[in-house]
Amino acid sequence: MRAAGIGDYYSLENIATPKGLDPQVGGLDFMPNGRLVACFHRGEVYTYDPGKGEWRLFADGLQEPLGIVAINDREVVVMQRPELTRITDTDGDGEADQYKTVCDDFGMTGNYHEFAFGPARDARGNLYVGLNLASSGASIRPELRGEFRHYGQSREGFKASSYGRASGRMYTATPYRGWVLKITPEGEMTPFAPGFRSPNGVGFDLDGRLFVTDNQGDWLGTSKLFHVQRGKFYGHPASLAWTNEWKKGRNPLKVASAEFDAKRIRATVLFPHGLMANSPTQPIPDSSGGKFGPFAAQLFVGEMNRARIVRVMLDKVAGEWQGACVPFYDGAGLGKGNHRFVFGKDGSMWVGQTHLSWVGGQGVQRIKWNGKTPMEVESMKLLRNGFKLTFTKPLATGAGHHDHFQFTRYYYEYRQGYGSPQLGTEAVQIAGLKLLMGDRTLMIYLDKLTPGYVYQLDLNNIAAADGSPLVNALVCYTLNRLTNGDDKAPHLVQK
Amino acid sequence: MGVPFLKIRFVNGLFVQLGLFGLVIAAALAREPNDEWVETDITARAGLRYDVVRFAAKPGQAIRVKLINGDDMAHNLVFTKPGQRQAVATAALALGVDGEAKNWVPDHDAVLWSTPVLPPGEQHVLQFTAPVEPGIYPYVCTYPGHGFLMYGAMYVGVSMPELATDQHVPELARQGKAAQKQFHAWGHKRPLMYRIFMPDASPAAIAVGLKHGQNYCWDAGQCRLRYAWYGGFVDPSPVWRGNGNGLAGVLGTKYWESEMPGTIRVGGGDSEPEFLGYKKVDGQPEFHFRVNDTDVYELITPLHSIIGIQRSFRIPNNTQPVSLPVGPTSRVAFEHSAGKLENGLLTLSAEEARAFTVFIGLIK
Repeated sequence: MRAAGIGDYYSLENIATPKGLDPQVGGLDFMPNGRLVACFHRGEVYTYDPGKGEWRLFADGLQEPLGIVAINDREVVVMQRPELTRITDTDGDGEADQYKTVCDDFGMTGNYHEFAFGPARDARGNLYVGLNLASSGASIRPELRGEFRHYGQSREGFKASSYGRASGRMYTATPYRGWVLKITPEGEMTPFAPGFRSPNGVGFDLDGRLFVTDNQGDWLGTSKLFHVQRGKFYGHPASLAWTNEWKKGRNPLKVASAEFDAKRIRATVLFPHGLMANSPTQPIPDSSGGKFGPFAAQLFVGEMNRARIVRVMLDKVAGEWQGACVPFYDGAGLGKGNHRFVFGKDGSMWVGQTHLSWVGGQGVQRIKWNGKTPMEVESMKLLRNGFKLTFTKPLATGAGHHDHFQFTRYYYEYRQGYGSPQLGTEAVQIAGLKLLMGDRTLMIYLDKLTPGYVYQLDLNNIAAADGSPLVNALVCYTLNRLTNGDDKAPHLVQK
Repeated sequence: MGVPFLKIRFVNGLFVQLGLFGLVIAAALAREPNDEWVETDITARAGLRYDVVRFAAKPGQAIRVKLINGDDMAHNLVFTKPGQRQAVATAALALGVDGEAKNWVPDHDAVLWSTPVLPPGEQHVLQFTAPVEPGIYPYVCTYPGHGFLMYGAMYVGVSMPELATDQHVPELARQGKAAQKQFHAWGHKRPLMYRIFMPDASPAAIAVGLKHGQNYCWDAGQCRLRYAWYGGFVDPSPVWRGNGNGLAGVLGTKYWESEMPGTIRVGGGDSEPEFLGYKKVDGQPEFHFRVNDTDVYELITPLHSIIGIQRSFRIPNNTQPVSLPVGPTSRVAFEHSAGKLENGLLTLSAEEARAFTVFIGLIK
């Protein structure tokens, strides 16, 4: 069987960017008039006419813009390091002249790692942004913006030489670092949810649910996708300094992880490190209505460290979302550093890349579906005693056999340390298989289903009835809870 | 600046031609000429610099230097005795109101040759014989304030060091290509601005490059002007080359830096100022912020006759007395259109404060 590639089903186009531009993309969107709008590393905002292939400078002078939303043909909202800014071309000459601060009600220490991500816009026009923690790889500046607060230490006591040990790898020293904020169109800010480390991906699905990605590191055994709701805690304790309970200066490094584990919301989807994604970016739903292939309404998530875009298959179990991830686009001309995405009206996906001196890439690419359906796992749903897999096309005769499906499970420990190895790794025996009518859906019954594990499925030699081989053969399901609601997973916390 | 340091044409055999057309001129130009001339064009460029920052000559050689003013400010060119560049430039500053009439060339022993002050677009040829004594003879623009940045050196009978290590040329020229680097697809036409990490300001700083080599740093975290400098703009590469762990470099000479904390006060109370953004006016940002529920606007524009800036404030419909920290005012030329200045604090009545202007100039 010939190895199938995603390039057999999608075409990829490199979009030339203006000469002299550092084409690291911080944000992408479309204006209603069909012009692409993109913001770049050195502070520029350009618009692009896809028909003519022409770029035009719209705005400049911004500080590390990492997200953009087009409001209309003359106005965009950009998240830059110091603020959320509404940028308007008031005189209609194609170039912005008004830069209004929508919200700068958060602190800055000058630490390089305090990136600001988003905005994602909800149906009411509210904007959601994510604020990075500071890194212990660098200090804070003599002058800050905002109140200083650092786990009970004084400003004078905060020394570059001590924070590495005193505060873990990522820390907060000014308000709302490590939070997702909600900002109304009028600029009123609400701290929405704490617990993030590096939330470089804020987006809504087509049903208005907010999803945020976070990056493997301290307190994150592997990278994550969260379904984010107001007031809940998403696992990295540094940000708790900005809650009333922690105001007096408890140090999260001196608190047992079990206490945080009891409060935290587990990831909706875990991206196994080194296998699926090492540095996930923007989640974006397939809004093409089928023009981009068989994944309408599913989420795609970018990955920085390799030439990959990941696809997420969500599953509502006992009232909560969890789900699986699978590579979507791998290689086939795609660059690394896949950072920001937007769908065009024609259903093509535009990809903006960056690196910011880490592993990544730069530039803009465009992916179009060629109309042929790839053989893929379309959905993966948890059953009481196994999983239901649905494929995009009927399976070839004989595919519904044990030999083609290999399940392994493991978990990532929730702990202060940097990342977590895969622990408790074991093969999971298949107890039975059943192909449903139409041959697109397969029930796989497993010996052991336990909350708090990643169930990794490797598919071997799977092909569709039309002869086309399966394109992506690695699927990782994050099993937080069973269908009966049982989500007890004491093994996730260090004893 | 990355300019080739030599733009010299050795005109061999010129005497043959001169012999045909005018020995008299040749004799006037060069008392004891060697067998070749040095001809050099030096162009004054925006950002207070000469495009040629050094050239070589032999002792006693005939020199013809053409100064071309390619900038939009006035400039001159003054050769001095070795080591006397700063002394001459400082003496020029001290000319004060007499300077204009003297082409800003001071009566100083160290002055050797000089051009008049040239308006933009004009040129002037200076002809002289190089000194017999070997040495490094500086040339400098003595127009007020320019001399700190705008200079070069004539090497007479002395070999030149590597440009990168030459202490007789401006720092920007020493940096060579780095300073010339283009960071954008849109060039670097002033006015321009970056929100970027700046030294001596909060992390929410804004750097603005105005015309005539004027620059300032305005702090959006504190809603106030932090400092002003002239010369180049900023070197953003320490910030942009990586993930942001660096500060932009100030390229030029700071001549004013706020020594008083706090921004404008409107009425009583100590409410935190709220930054609200800016609107571009001829490419220059007019900052908008709110103090004590009152909208304040500040537009900073370059002065034309001297190095300096004009801060234009608007507080429409203001009903309260206003105070603005403006110090230091003693080491610079300072003027204000309204209000009372005391110990670096400008106080204005409600009516005065609706629109007023503050000037900060380099020359006292």
